[in-house]
Amino acid sequence: MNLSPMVIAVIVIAVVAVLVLFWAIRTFNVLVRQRNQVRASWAQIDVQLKRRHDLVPNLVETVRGYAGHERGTLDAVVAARAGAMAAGVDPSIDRRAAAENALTQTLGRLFALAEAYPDLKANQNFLALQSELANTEDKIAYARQFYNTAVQALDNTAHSFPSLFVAGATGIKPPGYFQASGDEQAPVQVRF
Amino acid sequence: MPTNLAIAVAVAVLATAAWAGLYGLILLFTRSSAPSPAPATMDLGPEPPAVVNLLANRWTRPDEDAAEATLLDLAGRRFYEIRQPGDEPVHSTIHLPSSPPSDAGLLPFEQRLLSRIRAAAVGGVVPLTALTFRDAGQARGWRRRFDAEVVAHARRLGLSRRRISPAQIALLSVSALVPSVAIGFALALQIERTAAPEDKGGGWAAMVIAIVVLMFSFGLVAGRYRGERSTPAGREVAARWLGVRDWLAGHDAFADLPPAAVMVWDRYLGYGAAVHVAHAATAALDLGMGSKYLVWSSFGGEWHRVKVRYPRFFDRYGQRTAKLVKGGVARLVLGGMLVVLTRTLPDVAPAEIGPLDSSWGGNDISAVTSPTRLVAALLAALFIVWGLYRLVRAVVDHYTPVEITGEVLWIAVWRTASQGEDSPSVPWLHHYALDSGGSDRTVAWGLPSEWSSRSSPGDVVRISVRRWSRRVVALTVLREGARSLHGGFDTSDNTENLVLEALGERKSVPVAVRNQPATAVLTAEEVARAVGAQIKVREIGPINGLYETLDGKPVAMIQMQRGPMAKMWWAAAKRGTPVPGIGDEAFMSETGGALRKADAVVILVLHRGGRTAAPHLPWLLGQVATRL
Repeated sequence: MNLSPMVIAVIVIAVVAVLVLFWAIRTFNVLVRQRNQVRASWAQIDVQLKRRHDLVPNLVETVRGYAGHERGTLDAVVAARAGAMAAGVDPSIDRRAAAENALTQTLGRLFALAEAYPDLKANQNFLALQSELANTEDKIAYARQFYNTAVQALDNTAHSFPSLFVAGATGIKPPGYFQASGDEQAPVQVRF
Repeated sequence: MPTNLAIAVAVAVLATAAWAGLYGLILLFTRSSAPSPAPATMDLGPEPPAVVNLLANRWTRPDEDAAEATLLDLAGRRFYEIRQPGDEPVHSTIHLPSSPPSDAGLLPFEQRLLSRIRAAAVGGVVPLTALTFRDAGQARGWRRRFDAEVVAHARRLGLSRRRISPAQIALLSVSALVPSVAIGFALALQIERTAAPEDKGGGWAAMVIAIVVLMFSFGLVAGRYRGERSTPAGREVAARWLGVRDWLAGHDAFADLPPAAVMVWDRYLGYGAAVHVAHAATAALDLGMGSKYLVWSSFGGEWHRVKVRYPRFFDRYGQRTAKLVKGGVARLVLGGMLVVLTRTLPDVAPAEIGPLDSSWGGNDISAVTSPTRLVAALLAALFIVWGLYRLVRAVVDHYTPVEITGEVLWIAVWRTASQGEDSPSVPWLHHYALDSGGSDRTVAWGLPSEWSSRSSPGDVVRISVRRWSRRVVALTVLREGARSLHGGFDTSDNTENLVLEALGERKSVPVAVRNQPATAVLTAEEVARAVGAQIKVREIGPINGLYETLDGKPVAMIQMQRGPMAKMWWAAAKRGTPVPGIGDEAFMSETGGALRKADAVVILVLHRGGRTAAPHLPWLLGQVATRL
């Protein structure tokens, strides 16, 4: 059967269009899967962060019983916790990360302060809370790793050619990484 | 076929099929299906990765990922560090810390793996790929014990149980009576039908024997270990871990993480390996058999890989000088015969040659121009030269041995000798690869098979070798390698027995003792002292040994047996004068002695040439007892 060049061209264009459509659908599905993985990973961080927020009041009260005059540090912890909880509804990952990192730093100062109070260090409740918090910090660290890995995967797909066209057209953008604060990344100063 | 026999055969077939059907039904109903995964979660549980692997495999048995997951998990718990120096994960190395955490809380299979790593380390470092075994028996045995300990722990936690319960085994064993009797009856009918009148009645005796043998066989099939089965608690735990699997599988990058990533991902990588998600990490790990062509060596204090070539082609390899000389002489004789043949071959007719130059002489030309004569002459020359070469080389080879010191890399069977149609071939020569430290390449030597058990891969040895025949003529173990110090791993026990041992419900004999050959319990020197002559010892299988004088006259034979067979031996061997204070019991007579200690029985038989050792029997038996 002899086909006219016009018909052949139409068939070729149609085949190409179908292939492009299949590719676009597949790429969209990959982006959606990766975006959902990012959201699920963030949800895990959220769970651990909330758990940490719940442990802080008990910890503050326990320390207050032994070092009540260390108001500056205790108030800083309470304020940092409030800030972190308020940032929990902020859609910006960077702002939320900053608030959580601030809480981490104040908790670090609180535990450093506890070193000067032997009775506090021997208190079973304090030790249990310290262990729970350390466990939670570890889980936050792992959850952060998973989250950043998921963001990286989405980032790679969304900015690679030619899938960036599908990402742009569908509005799928990778969020920011959950990064350590500037102070955590600074080199440790040692004095002799 | 008579009707009654046909009916009996049909009944036997039906009964066997029914029994097989019952067995199949039990297997079907005891199969563990995969539980529905719980929601994806990153929360890990308290179960170790190897047990998680068993659950993730639907309770069949732990696979090779179980050991690899445990290796990664121990790294995550900082018992050692994994470092990757370049781009290739397989080039990673394990570094033992100077102050590791306490081993106190380690489970038996974790301790087993950690011990293996520590034994292999040189200067606290071991390459990942150097953890492979160099002996198939050891690899198999280690793996079986590891798996048994994992299964035992899973049972201890209540997460797993034996797939076919003792009650089901009992049901199968008892019900096996039906097909056994049916088959035995059919057999008896057939025998009675075809037997001569004077032999009638033998079929019924055969029936009884057949029933016993068949019951035993059916019982073996029924009792064979078929893996594990889920428990309600196990299914719940497995569902949770499948949720973790789904969580880890959702992170595409996790599948590409190398083993060294455990320093960042901690225990997640080990659990990822256990649930078959950490593909790149497990691909870089291999705890089974290594390659015999590229072997890690620690000789010289540093790990390095050695390429080993295994010579195969020439028949002179591994041969004794006498045989090589015989071969040379045979070739010379053949060459000589060919020379004679050359002279007796018929001449070519002169007319076919044409006009001849008188300086040649007609007969000489006809002698060399015949093609057959030419070929024969060439062959004769070849065999003569070959024979002379072989003779000279064999003699030079015999008188110029070389001593080499190095680490044993690989020992494997090279050449075997046929023992006849109905007997398996017996190895007489082993490949013996040695790293002497001079190069990253080596060529294996030929080790007489009777010496193959004297050393193990990893040992540092000094050997005397003949270069041309590549035969090892003397072997001295200078230092045992860490692997052989770690004890033999080979076990022929079935998995259920190993699991019961790991649970502490069955007494175990240390594997190194179980694998002891008979000649290990009494040395040639001790027999020499008792006999008053120089003695050499020859192993005849694992349970027999022969002590001979240097000119080959047998002096004594030692036999050793363990387990249920030993009880039968003891019943026959315990006669003569009791000798108190040796083992659990000992007896001696003029022709030898026997002793029993724990589950081992040793019988020492004095041949005629060794009867002078009879007064020294109590001492000899005492020496044996100290080594059991």
